Amino acid sequence: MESSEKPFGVPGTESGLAPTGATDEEEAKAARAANLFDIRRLIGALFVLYGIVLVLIGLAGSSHVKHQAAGINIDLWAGLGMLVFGALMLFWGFARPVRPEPPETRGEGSGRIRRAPAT
Amino acid sequence: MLKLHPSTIDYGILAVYFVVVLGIGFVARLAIKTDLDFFLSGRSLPAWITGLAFIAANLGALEILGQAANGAQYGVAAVHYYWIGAVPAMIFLGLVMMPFYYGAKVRSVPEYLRLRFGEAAHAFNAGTFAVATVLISGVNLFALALIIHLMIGWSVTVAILVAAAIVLIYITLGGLTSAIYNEVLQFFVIVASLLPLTIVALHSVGGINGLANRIRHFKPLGEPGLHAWQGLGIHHVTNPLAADWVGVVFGLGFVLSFGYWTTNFAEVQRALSARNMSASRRTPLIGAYPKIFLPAIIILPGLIAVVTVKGLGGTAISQQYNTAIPHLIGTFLPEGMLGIAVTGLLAAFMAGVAANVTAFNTVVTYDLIQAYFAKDRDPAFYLRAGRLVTVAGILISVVTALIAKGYSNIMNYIQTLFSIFNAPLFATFIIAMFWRRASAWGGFFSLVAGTAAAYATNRLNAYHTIFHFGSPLSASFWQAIIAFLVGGVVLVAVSLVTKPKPEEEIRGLVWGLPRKEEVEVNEDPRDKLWWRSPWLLGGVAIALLIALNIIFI
Repeated sequence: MESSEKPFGVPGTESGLAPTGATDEEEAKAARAANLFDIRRLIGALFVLYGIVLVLIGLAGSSHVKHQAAGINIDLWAGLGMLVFGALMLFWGFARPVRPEPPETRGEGSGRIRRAPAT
Repeated sequence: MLKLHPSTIDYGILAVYFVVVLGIGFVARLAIKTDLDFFLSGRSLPAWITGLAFIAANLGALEILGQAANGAQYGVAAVHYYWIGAVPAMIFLGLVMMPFYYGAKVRSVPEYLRLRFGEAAHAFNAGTFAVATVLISGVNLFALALIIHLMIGWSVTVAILVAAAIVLIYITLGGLTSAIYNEVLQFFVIVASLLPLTIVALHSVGGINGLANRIRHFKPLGEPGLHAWQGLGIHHVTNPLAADWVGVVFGLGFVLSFGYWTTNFAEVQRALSARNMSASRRTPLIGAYPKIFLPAIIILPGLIAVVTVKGLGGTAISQQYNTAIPHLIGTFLPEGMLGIAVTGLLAAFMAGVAANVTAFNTVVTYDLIQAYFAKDRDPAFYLRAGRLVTVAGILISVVTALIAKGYSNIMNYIQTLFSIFNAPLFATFIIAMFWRRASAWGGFFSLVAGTAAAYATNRLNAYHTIFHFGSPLSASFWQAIIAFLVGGVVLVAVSLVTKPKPEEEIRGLVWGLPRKEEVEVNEDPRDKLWWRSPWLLGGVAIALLIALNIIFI
């Protein structure tokens, strides 16, 4: 099919995508922004925060808080679990950050989200 | 103990979540330059994110409460909704169907029909999908409001408005990216609340063996409540589902489930937003793994609730099976975990609404506005249109939710919607993809006839004039089978007497007619790693399914 006959929705008909992409400098900046918005770090931070809160309640809470869950101090245990999970997510996010896109593939997507959470 | 009493700390946990959700919306907005960014995240996301979003989009209000209710009412047999009624279809989507969808670079499921069958089938499908989605989103919103009302005492109307406002803000700002990020976040929060809840609840009934003993002596479930595959013989139905194996395997497993998971755009959209073909195929395959294990934290609590919560299954609104999980939360979770659980439920409910709204705005903008009313405008126009449609969709959902307030049984309502709008589609799609002779008019009349057949069976069944199916569940299975057969027969019959589409026009859309040149954008050499092979992921998932079905036979 030639592009003039292509119905909308076929590659090449979406306008607004720069074919060659950004300069190295822009790309590095975009990668930094993508790292800030990396969902692994967001999840990690949220779970570490929740984990700390739960562990504190589990340690300092009333006897009722400690025993309501069929005698298990569920805040403490779930809090520890969430801390570990959050820490792992943060580790993953920082150990394998988003890197600037190499020039040969640059510009095929359309924004910094494309580079976001690389794995 | 349905009414919960969250403390300041619990509300704090909830507030932090809302701040993060809205924050994601604001940040995602910065990345949106074009309409494609808004509707499909610029086709940019890695497979693990789209995969989790794929199941989280379905893990809304009705799913969590409804499946726990099925566990309470039908026992272990409720796992059919996962192991028969979802996972095989997800695997099929990833291995067989995604290459057609993603390879054609369509932006929506109706758009595939447009390329394959032309405008008549496309317009019909886009129109019915838009109507059904906005209704379902409204019902989700209502379910959310109802549970907020029951658990923390806000009025239903206030709850509808607050939840709608939050969804409105983050979707209008950040589009699909916002929705998907929140779905992933919500998935982890819901697991973080249901997993500890299940563990303590199970502990309280003496572990798995203790639970099994109590179910055995519990009326009306008894021993059959512990098995998935017993009592399904035709004419010898003793299973709590009141369905035979033909209904389960073909109705639920084949037609209903394949119709939903492979053609419902709210699901397929997640896979279309993946960054390349490999990631899009792996989307439903990665989603299949958590889906296989979700019954352990959704159906199992339902089973525990039915033997521990007095009066569960009654008619009062606070005793319906749907309240199984909220009852357990109220009984077992102290301050702290209570906040996590309330946050998880509200997040899931909002994600359910958001998934439908993002599918709705994409289909309305691309498949109705762009296709038939405003062609060839610049991307900024469609981006603006998408945002306005989002606002309109949420407003309609709010109105639907307020109307749904007046109906007593919303679950029946939603199942009716699904069986009328979703089930008939599968016949059309599967034949379209595998039979190149299927013609444009065949496609159109197949959709119309399938939908009409589903509607007619539903009405006939509602008045009990002709069919008797045992239970409403069994009825919905058979209704799906009938719609499938009618749609399939009409497609074949009409195609044989009308002109087929020229082969050049359907290249890449049909099995056996590949594109002349494959253009793989964004190819990633790491996708060649053996553990990223779609066939391996699908094969292992199937092996797990077989093993689990044997264990719970």
